[in-house]
Amino acid sequence: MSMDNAPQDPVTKVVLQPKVDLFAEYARAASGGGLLWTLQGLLLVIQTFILPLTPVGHWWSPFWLVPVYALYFLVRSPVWRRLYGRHGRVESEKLLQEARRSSWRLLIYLLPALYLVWPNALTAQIGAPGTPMGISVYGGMVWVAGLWAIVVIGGRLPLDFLYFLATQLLSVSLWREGPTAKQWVSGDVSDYRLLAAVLAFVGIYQHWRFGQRLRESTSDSKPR
Amino acid sequence: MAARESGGITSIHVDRVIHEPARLAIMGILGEGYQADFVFLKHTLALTDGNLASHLRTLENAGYLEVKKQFLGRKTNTLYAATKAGKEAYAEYRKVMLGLLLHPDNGVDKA
Repeated sequence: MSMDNAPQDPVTKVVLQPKVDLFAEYARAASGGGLLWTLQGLLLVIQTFILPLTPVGHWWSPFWLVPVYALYFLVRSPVWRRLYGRHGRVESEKLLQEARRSSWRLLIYLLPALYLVWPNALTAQIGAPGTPMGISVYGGMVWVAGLWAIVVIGGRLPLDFLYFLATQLLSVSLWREGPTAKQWVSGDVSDYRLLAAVLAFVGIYQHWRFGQRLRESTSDSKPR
Repeated sequence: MAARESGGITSIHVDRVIHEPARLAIMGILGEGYQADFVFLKHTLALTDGNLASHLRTLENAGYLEVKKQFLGRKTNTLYAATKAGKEAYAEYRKVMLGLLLHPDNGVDKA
C-alpha cells in the first residue's frame, strides 16, 4: 500500500497533528513568524528615525543601517528559541519544499522590481531625471538579490528577505551620494511607519494565535 | 496478511515494534514525513526522558528511525526521522489494523 493512499490514523490526525503542524510552521517561519514580525516592525520604525541623521557624502554612508541588520541577526534566533522553540522542534519535508517554492516565487516579483521600480523611484525621489545611476545603486541591488539567494539556499525564514527588502527600499537612495539624498532622507517616511505598524500588528496577532493553538493541542497528561 | 495460527489460538500478525502505544504515537508523527527532536516528542507524548529514549532506541534498532544531528547556533540538535522501511512498516501496520476494525471477519479464523 502506498503512503499516499494510506488512510491517516484518526488518533494521530486529531490528537497529534495540530501540534505537529503548528511547530513545523514556526520552525521554518514560512508563514509563522510571530513576534519576529513585530521585531521587524520596531526596527523599521527605528530606521525611519535614524535615517535623517545619516551623514551623507562619505564612503561609509551606505553602511549607516548595518547595525540595525546586525541587531536583527543577533536578536532573531534567541527570540525564536525562547518563544517558539521551547517545546522542541519539528521539521516537515513538505513545508520545506513549500518554503523553497515561495522563495522562488519571490524572485518573480523581485526581478521586475529591481529592473524597473527602483531606478525610476530613485530618479523621482532624487529629482534628477536622466542622471546616470551610481555604481553603488547597483551594488544595493546585488546586496538585496544576494539576501534572497541566502533565503533560497538556506530554505528557511523567507520573512527575513521581506524585511531586508523593505529596509532596502527605505535606504537605497543613500547608495547615491550627494545633497539630494539628504533632502530625501529628511522627507516623508509615513508609508514606512504604516508598514511597520502593520508588521507589528501581524506579529502580535500571530503570537496570540500560537499560544491559543498550543493550548488547544497540548495534552494535560503527566509524563509517564 | 492478517491472521496466523499459533498453537491452536488465532493471533493477528501485527508489527509488535510499532504496536506499543508510545512507539505507535512516535511513528504517527514521524511516519508522515515530519522530523522531530527529542524535546518535542517528550512534551507532545508526555513521556519521561528514559522512557522516550528507550522507545526511540527500539525503533532505531528495528531500522525504522534515523538520527540527524544539526547545529542550531552553537548547540547540537538531534532530529529523528522515519526511514523508508519505517514509513512502509507504519503504512502496513495501519492497513492491518484498519482492515481488522472495518472487516473483523476477514482473515481471522474462528477456531
